[in-house]
Amino acid sequence: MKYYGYAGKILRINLTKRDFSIKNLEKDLMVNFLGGRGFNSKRLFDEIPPKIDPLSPENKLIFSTGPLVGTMFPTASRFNVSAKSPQTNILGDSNAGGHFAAEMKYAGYDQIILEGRSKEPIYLYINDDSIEFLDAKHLWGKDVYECDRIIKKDLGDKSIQTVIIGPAAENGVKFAGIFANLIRAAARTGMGTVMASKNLKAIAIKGSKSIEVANPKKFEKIIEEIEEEIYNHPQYWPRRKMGTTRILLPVNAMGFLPTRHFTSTIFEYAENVSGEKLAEEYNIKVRGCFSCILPCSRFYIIKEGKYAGLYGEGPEYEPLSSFTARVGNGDLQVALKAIDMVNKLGLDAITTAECISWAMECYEKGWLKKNDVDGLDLTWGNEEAILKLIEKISKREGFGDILADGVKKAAEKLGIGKEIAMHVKGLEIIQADPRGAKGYGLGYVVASRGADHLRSEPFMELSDDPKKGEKLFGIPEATIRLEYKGKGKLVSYCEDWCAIVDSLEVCKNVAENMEILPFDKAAEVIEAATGLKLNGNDVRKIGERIINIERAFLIREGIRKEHDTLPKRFLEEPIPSGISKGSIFELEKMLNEYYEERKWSKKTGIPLKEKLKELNLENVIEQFEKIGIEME
Amino acid sequence: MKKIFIDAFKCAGCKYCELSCSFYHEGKFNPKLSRIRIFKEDEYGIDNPILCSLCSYCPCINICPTNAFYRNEKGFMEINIEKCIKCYKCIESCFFGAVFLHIEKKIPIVCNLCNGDPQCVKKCPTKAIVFLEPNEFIQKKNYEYSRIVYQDFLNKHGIKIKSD
Repeated sequence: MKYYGYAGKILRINLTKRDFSIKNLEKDLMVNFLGGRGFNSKRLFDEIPPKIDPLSPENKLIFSTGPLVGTMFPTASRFNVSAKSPQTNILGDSNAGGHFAAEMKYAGYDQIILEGRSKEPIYLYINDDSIEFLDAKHLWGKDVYECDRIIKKDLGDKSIQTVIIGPAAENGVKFAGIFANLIRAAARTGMGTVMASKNLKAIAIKGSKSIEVANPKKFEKIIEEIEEEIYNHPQYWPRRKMGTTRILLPVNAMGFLPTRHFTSTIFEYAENVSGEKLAEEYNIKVRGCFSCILPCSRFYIIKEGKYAGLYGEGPEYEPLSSFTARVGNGDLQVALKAIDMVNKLGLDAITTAECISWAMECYEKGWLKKNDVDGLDLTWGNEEAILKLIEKISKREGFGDILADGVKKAAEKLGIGKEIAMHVKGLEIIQADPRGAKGYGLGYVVASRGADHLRSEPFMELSDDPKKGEKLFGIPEATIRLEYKGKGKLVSYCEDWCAIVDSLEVCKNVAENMEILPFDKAAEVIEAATGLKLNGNDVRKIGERIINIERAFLIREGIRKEHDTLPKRFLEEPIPSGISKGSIFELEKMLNEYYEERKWSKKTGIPLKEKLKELNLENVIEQFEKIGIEME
Repeated sequence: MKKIFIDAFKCAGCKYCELSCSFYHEGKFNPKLSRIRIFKEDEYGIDNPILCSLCSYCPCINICPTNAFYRNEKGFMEINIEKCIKCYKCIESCFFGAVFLHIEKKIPIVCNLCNGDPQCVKKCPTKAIVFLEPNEFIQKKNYEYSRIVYQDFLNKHGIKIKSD
C-alpha cells in the first residue's frame, strides 16, 4: 500500500536491548486517530498499563507527526511527544514546532516509540533506516545549546535536526521539557524528565525521503487559498511582528493578566514589558518554523545595560508574562535573562514561574521566612531571587529541591499555601485568569493534561461578539468572556477542533486562533493530502474520539469529577479591580453543561457507555469492565 | 538580465522556498530535491538561502567535460541529463555550493529560474528572495540600508520611518 501525506512507517526503539523495529503505519490508526496527538494518545492507552511509575522503564516516550507535516501546507511543522507524566501521574503530552518534525517525516517515520531504559547515557542518531545508539557521557550535564553544538560537531553535519533535554531533566526536575531547534519547547508535563529517566540525552535526525500527496492539483489549490487567507488576515502583521507577545497589553487592558500570583489582574508595568516594547527595542529579525508563512518567532539582542550581549530567539507570551507580571517584575531585560536560563537549563517556563510566584506570595503572607528559602529575599520582582531560584530548581538545590516537583507537591511537602497553589490535576495554570476569561477557565478544568489552555484555546470568546455565539452554538453568551452560559458547548467544540489541529500537527495560532482550518476545510485538506474520504462531521468525530480516549486514560488513573476543579481563589474571591472587577468562576454550572455536551456522567465524569459506543471505542468499555470501573 | 537576489537578513528560515521548488520541479515535497537551499544556525539566528548566482563566468559550465552543463537561449542554466557522466566536477567548482545533488537520481541539479517564473520568489513570505535587474536590487538595498542607519537618529528627533 502506498501512503500519501503520511511517511507510512512506525519506528519502535528498545533502549534496554538497543534494538529497533520498523513497521507499517496501521490503517486503523490513520482512519480513527488521524496523526500526531491522536496517534500518541491511542498508543498510550493501548500500551501503558494503569498505575505504572512514570519514571520506570515501563513508561514509553512517543513522538508523532501528522499527515501534513513535510508538505508545504502552511505551518504544518509540529510534533507531539507523549508519555505518562511524572509531574501529574496522568496523561503527559506536549507539542512543539521547528524543523524536527519535518525531518522525522523525511527520515520516513510518522511515529517513534521509545521503550525501556538505557544503562549508560546515550543519544540516538536516526538517518533514514539507520539507527545508531551513540555514547552521550560527554553530553551529560551540558545545557541545551552546548549539547546541540557538540552533537552537530560530532556528527560533522550542521543541518541535522535535534531534540534535546537540559540539565534540569537529568537532575530529576519533574517539569523538564524537550527542546527542538534550541528554544522550541515541548515543555509541559515533564516529558524531558521521562526522556532523562531513559538515559537518553538527545535524538538527532536526518532524512532524505519525499512526501507525496494524493491529489497534487487539489492540494496546490487549497494551499493557495490558505495562503491568501493568512496573508489577508487582520492578525497577520501583529502576529508577525510580535508573535504571541502581542496579547500582553490587551489581556492587561481586559483585566485578566495574572499579576503577582493572581492577587491582581492588572500589571502597572505592562507597557514596559509588552510585545510592542520587545519588538521596537530588542528584535532584529523574524524567524519561522518549517513551512510557515507567518514567521512569528523573533531574534533579539540586548544592546545595552546589565545584560548587554544577551541574544536569542523568542520569547512567547507565556514565558514573557510569566517572568514579568506573574512574579511582579517590571524589567524586560530581567525577564529575557530568566527565559534564556529556563531554555538552556531545559525547564517548563510556566511551571517554573508558578513555583517562584507561589513562593513569593507565601513569603509576602509570612508563611515562608528568609531562612526557609536559603536566605533569598522573595519580595515581588526581586531579580536575584527570580534568577537564583531558576538555577536552584534546575539543580534541585536547597529550596529549589522542594519546588522541583511542581507547586502541588511543594505545597503538600511544606504544608503551606495549598489553596493558593495554582494548578489543576498537578499542572500549573497559565497566564490568563480564569475569572476574566471563563471559557479558558473551563478549558483548564477539563483539559486532559491538567490546567491547560492549548487543549481548547477558546480564543473566540475574547471577541465578545454575541452574534458568533448565536450562530455557532445558539447561545449568544458563549462568545462573551465574562458570561458563563454556553461555555460547555464552546469548550467542547474548541477541544474537538484543537485535537484535530494537534493531530494534523498544524500551528494552533493559525489554524484555530485565526480560524483558517475549520472542520470542513480540514476534511478537504486531509482528502487532498492523504486520499482519506471524510467530511466535516467525520473530522469532528475524530476530534471527539481523541478527547474521549484521553479521558479514558485519566479515568483509568483514578481521575473523577472531583478533580475537575480550580483553586479556591477563582471560585470564591472575585477579581478585585479593573474592568473585570467582581467576576468569579461559576464552576458547577459550566461543568454540568460541559458534561452534558460531552455525554459524560454528571455524577462521576466518566464517559457514558452510549458515547463510547458511538465513537467506536468498544475497547475502552471492555477495559473498564475488566478493571471494575462502573459506567452509566 | 534579471536574476534572483537574496537578502539573508530578511530570511526567516521557513524553507517555504525549498518546498515550492521541489513541488514545482519534482511533484513532491523534499527540501533535498530543491534547487535552492537555506543554511541555518539557530543559535545565531542565521538563515541564508543559497542558489545559482548566474555568474557570467561559469566554472560549472567550463569544467563540464561533456558539455552537459549549458545556458539555454534565454540565458537560464540547464543540465542535459543524457550527457551527464556524474563526475560532479560542476559541484566541486561552484564557489557558492549552489549546484546540488539530486538525492534520488544522483545527478547534479541547479536553479533554472523555473524558466523565467521562479517559484521561490513568488512564495517567499518575507520577500527575502527577489527577482530583479542587478541595478534595481542595488537601489532597493541602498535605500533599505540607509533607513537602518538613520533609524536611531530619526527616532531621537521624534520622526518615525513608515514601513512599506
